[in-house]
Amino acid sequence: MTQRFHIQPLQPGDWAALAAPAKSISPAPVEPYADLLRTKGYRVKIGENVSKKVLLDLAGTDADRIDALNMFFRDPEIRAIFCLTGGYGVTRILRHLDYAALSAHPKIICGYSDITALHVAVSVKTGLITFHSPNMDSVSRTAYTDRCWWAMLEGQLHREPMPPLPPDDDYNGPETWTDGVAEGVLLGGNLSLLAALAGTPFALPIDRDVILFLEDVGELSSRVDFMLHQLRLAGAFERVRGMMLGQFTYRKNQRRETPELLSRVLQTFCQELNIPVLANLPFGHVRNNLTLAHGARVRLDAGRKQFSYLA
Amino acid sequence: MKRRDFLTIPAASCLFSAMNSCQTTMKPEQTVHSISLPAIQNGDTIGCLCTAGGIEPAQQEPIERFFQSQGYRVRWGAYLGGDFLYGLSGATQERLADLNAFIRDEEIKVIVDLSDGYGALPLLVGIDFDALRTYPKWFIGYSDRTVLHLAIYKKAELHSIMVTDSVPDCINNSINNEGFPAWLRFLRLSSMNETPFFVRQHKFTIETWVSGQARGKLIGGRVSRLAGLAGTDFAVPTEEDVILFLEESDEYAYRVDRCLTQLFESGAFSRVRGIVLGRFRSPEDEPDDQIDLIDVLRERFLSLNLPVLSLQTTEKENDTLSMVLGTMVELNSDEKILNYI
Repeated sequence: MTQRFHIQPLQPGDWAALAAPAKSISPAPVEPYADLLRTKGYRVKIGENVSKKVLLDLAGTDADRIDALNMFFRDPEIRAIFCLTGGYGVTRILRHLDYAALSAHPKIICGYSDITALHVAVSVKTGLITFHSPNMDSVSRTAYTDRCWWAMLEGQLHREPMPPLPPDDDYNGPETWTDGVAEGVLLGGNLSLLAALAGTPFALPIDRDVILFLEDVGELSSRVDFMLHQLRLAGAFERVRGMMLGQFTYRKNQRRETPELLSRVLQTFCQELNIPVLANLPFGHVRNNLTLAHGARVRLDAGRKQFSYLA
Repeated sequence: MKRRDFLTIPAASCLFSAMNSCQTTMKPEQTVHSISLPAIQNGDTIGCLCTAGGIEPAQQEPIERFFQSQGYRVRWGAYLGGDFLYGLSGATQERLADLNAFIRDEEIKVIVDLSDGYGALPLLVGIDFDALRTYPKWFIGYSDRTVLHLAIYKKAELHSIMVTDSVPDCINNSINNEGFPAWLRFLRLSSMNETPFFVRQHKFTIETWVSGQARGKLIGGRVSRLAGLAGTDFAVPTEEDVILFLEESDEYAYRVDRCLTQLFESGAFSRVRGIVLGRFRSPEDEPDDQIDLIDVLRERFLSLNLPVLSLQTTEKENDTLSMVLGTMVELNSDEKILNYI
């Protein structure tokens, strides 16, 4: 699939959409999120389903969520779709999304966690670049998060892919796990969702060189191990040339579970791959969540602890 | 498709009566896929190992004594009590070496996998399935071993017994109650005069969710592990008719739904002709989630147009649902019957 870099940066006056393809935002009101975008000068459309709530807290039935998202895909005016929240529900609707319409009217798509499934599906079906970024309910957590996010929205993809974080007690910066340099299409997101796509028409593509980025939240280290092996067994690592690991927060209040154990599981798996691995990057279910351009070509230099987007 | 009212009935009566009628309903052309592994004999060797989590050294001796008291010899794997990563009995290559050594050992007639928890998946690519074809033998496992049962069926075309409760617990219960596990009785008989469910004297709830009849290979296990095999060589077979058995424990409703989505989207249901639901339990920290979990199952399976039987057992009775996976079965959800054919 050829790369498509023609996503237009957002401009004041552009239309933006607020979407809930997975979990409902109810009981939280949607207006504050709309206002946040309006203060930046955007005009806002809100999905009809966002406050509906059905079984599993889904934001409406599958049909509700499909219709709302397809309406945005088909609307040439809408320049960006901001997902309000993650939760669960995207994998249920992937088969019914109008990828042809999205391809005809390319637009920015933002979100993470459950939205990972949407990023991968869009990449597989259209080759479009999307933004693995905070959902609206987790923007503005830190100045760093917002700064990275807005820079990406405003088209500064190449300027500074990973601005340095201010020194922090909790964060020691990226770690080189396996030295080396690799290039490929930056794909990935939440490990649980990537694993949940294996074997489906929306699985991670193996027809191109990939730099795989992963994060997850609150999973048992044994389950993280299972999911990594599951992806490997399904062939997802066939063309993975490098890995970028974000934050894997450990499952609290469980016997044995510690951040160190989770880290050892990841390291044990990565060592067998024999590819460059850069770990402890500032993205994931954490306050400082670096926005990544999903589907863009990148060059990873694990030894120098950096990566850059390629034209 | 008509839906029956939910009933609670003593399972033993209906399934035992089904068992008795098994012979009479069997037709010659249906015996092609019969159980091919022989019953075990006095003096046969049982190999005990751990493909995932280890066991305590203190557990070994009573297990060995129990099998010996039943007339069998016992051999132990080399990696049983390790503490690798999250409690694995050894590193991947070590656990694999144990498994392959037993597979290649002609004397070992039964492999009993004592492991609990995650850990079998990384072994799959290294298993010596050629040797297993050469020296076919029984495999007994549970829970995460769903992936091994699928692999054994797909790569060695061999059936195996999946226990729906902890194997060491089954043995301990047998020791304490001076009985023996249902699956051991099956190994002794290796008989078609059994239902796939080893019903004892327990009562549990059988519900006809969708009425109908179907036949196919009995395949299944934990939903999370079946979903974890999607896209791999070990996925639910799609080239033959399947009666799918599903169970899950300690998973939230949304996760079970996500796994079911993956199974549907990956085509795992393409040849499923009937469904048997075993025990589903969500984690205890969110009691309301159990209600959602059952709602998820109803939403998924009531509209599928396939016969669906639901067997909701309690924790204690659960080993009675142990079954021989990879065999031809006939499901009649109206009569609440599952038979080998």
